[in-house]
Amino acid sequence: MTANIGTALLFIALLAALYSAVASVLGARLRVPELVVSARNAVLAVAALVVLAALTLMYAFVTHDFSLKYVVAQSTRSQPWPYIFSGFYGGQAGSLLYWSLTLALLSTAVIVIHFRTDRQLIPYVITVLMAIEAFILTVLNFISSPFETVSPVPPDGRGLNPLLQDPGMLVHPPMLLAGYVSVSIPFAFALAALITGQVDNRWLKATRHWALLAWLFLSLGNLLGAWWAYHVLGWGGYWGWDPVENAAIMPWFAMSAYVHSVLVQERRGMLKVWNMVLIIVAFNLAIFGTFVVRSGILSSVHSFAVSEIGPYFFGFLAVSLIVSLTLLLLRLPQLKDEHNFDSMLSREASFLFNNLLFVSVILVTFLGVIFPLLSEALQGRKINVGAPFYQQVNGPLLLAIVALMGLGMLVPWRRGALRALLRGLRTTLAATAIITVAAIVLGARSPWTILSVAACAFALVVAVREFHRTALALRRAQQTHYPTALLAVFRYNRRRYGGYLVHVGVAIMGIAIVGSSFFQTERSVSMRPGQSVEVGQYTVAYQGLTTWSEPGKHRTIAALLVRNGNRSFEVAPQKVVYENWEEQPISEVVIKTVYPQLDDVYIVMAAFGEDGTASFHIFVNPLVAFLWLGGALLVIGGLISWWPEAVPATVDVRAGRLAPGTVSS
Amino acid sequence: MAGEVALERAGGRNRRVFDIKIIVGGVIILLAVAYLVVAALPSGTAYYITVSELADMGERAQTQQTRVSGNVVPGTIVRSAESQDVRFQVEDESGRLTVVYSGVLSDIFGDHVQVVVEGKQGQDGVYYADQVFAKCPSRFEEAAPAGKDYAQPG
Repeated sequence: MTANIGTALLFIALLAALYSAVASVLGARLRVPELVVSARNAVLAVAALVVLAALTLMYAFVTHDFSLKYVVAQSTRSQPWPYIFSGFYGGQAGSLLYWSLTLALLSTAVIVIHFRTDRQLIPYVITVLMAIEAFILTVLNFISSPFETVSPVPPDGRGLNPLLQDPGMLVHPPMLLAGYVSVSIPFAFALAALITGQVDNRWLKATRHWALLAWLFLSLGNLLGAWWAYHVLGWGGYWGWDPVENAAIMPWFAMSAYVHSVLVQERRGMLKVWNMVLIIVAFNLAIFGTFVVRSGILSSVHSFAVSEIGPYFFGFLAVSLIVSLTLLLLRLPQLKDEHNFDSMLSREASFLFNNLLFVSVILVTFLGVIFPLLSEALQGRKINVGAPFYQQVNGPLLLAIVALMGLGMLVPWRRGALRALLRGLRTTLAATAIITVAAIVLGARSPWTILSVAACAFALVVAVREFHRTALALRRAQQTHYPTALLAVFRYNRRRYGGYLVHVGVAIMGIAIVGSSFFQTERSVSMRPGQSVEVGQYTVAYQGLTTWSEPGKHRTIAALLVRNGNRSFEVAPQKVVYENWEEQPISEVVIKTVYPQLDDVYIVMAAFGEDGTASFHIFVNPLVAFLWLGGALLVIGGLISWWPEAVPATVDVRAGRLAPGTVSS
Repeated sequence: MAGEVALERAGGRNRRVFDIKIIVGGVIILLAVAYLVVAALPSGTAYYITVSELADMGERAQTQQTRVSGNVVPGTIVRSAESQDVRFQVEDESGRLTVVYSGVLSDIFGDHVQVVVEGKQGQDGVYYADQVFAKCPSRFEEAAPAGKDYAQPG
């Protein structure tokens, strides 16, 4: 019954999406506004139908309707309810349903916000969005349906993979998928601009917030993914450059480049073609990311089965690339830049180079991801590219991006004067030097480490200095106290200073990455109760094992005492066996951040024996806490930057005057 | 900078002229990236060979570091009680290989799981792995092939 309802809803949604895509473009071409209105209503219908389909699946989960294959695969009767909820998007079919749900809801929001204000573009925006939606719905209807039934009906389900039964998993996939989906919106506006020939800045202005929203979702998705990997996977790190991670970070790099380069087009009428290319690339990378996770083509490079969904996604990618690039080529004559670069020492030039570096990182990462496929096609051998490749190539490029991030905040638009720039930099360079020397005193020795710390410190100091200077000016202008003025900085220019807070976050994350990659200590050890081991500055003593059972899982808990100087604390890493998943015991990692060193003591129990012997993998990861702090600042900064502006006003920072007028960024 | 200014004055509204400095900067980045890629490829990449290719290598397999990928044969995992030694078999379409590894394996490791083993073959024909990478089937998908009867459509 549920299956029939769900299947019917998805089928009608597909028809409505197809109708909307066709009616909208016809309405615009034939100048029949009624058709466009009807297409708009069809979008709302699609959203309603997909919401109902999602609710139907949810209902099946809540009522433990094991006549659905998908429910059997993703839940059990004893599974805690939050994970029954996450079972919804835990598998292929459900995650595609979530994808189409998000796109339908965002499309509705687009219509509510832009239908009146962007009359010329909106019919084509609807067409593009609904064409994407129709594709996903086709896959859902005919290739991978969450409403597929099974008979005989099993008494209980198999349940979600225990690795996925973690709070991080509740938020990481929805955020990342929402990120992939929301790139569709600036992409749809860009295509609409190309189709209509209205390639002025209107589409950029309309999508400013959408692009930032997509960037925010992608940031959150990646950060939460790193957090989940660190806390759950138990290999002591947060980023492994594996194909799935690479697929998730590439659209983020593309959107990071895009939110900078659009500023150049808004301000100076430059980089028009570049921006089009970037958003097309970002969208296709987002589709690639969605598809790689699902198809298994890359994560199963060495296995023999290719998921049936793969060819459809390849086809879609090909069509979307061909259509968008053809449109771009046809409009090239209208996309001439209005200015040349005045000087290399200008904000626009720094944005251009930041973009070139971001695109280089994307190309390198993409090359690494597809290298096994390439090498097999060319040499008949699968050659895999591992983490060292990405570290050696992307490491220096990302370092250059961080350094440029600092420089970019210093140089003005159009043309900067080198002498004035250097004169104003004395304190900044001194502060950078102090931090770098401190890092050397604390143990940084290799040139790469020192250079990395210096670049991060420089970017951090410059960003902080920008806040400080503007706060001083605002304090004078508004006759308030410094803390009030510092907060007022965001009200004064939300977009810019939100962005600078992101820069602060990135610089702090950079320091965390340097610390945890170059100064990690690790040790694998097998101990009997009473034995202890030294790891870095820490002594870890193993006291013994206890066991504990609860519905659906059995725990084995180790008691460990960690000593550092005259301080000590107890930790209890566990091994948990879930019912139905006996072949895959899960380690519950313990991570204890020690202050003030900011070391993470990270302990995994790898195995244990009948006699109480247990083996542990112990890491001391310095500064990882900074990664989460920097990540939080990045998200908050992005949110501030995204938040719609209230009353625009500008301040002449040097004169400390408050003047009404347009907002600069 | 002077050159540009002159050009702008002379060329007037000619905006198709590419800025030489931007091009130089772009080329420098491109060369740097190319250099980094070429420098990193030998150490950052690894050949995967099949079980039969390993057999074809003969004695060379005992001296040369290799990587073999395959699936863990269910039921062959034997963990030593005293040490961290794990013995298991890996198979691909070309054959089977017995692997011994000493160390901590990730949680994902288990029957059917796809692994990459890196190491050398011993004189006894057993493959002594320095490293075993268990491939996460997908972060996001029903992971265990044991669930195939339920999870896989069709």
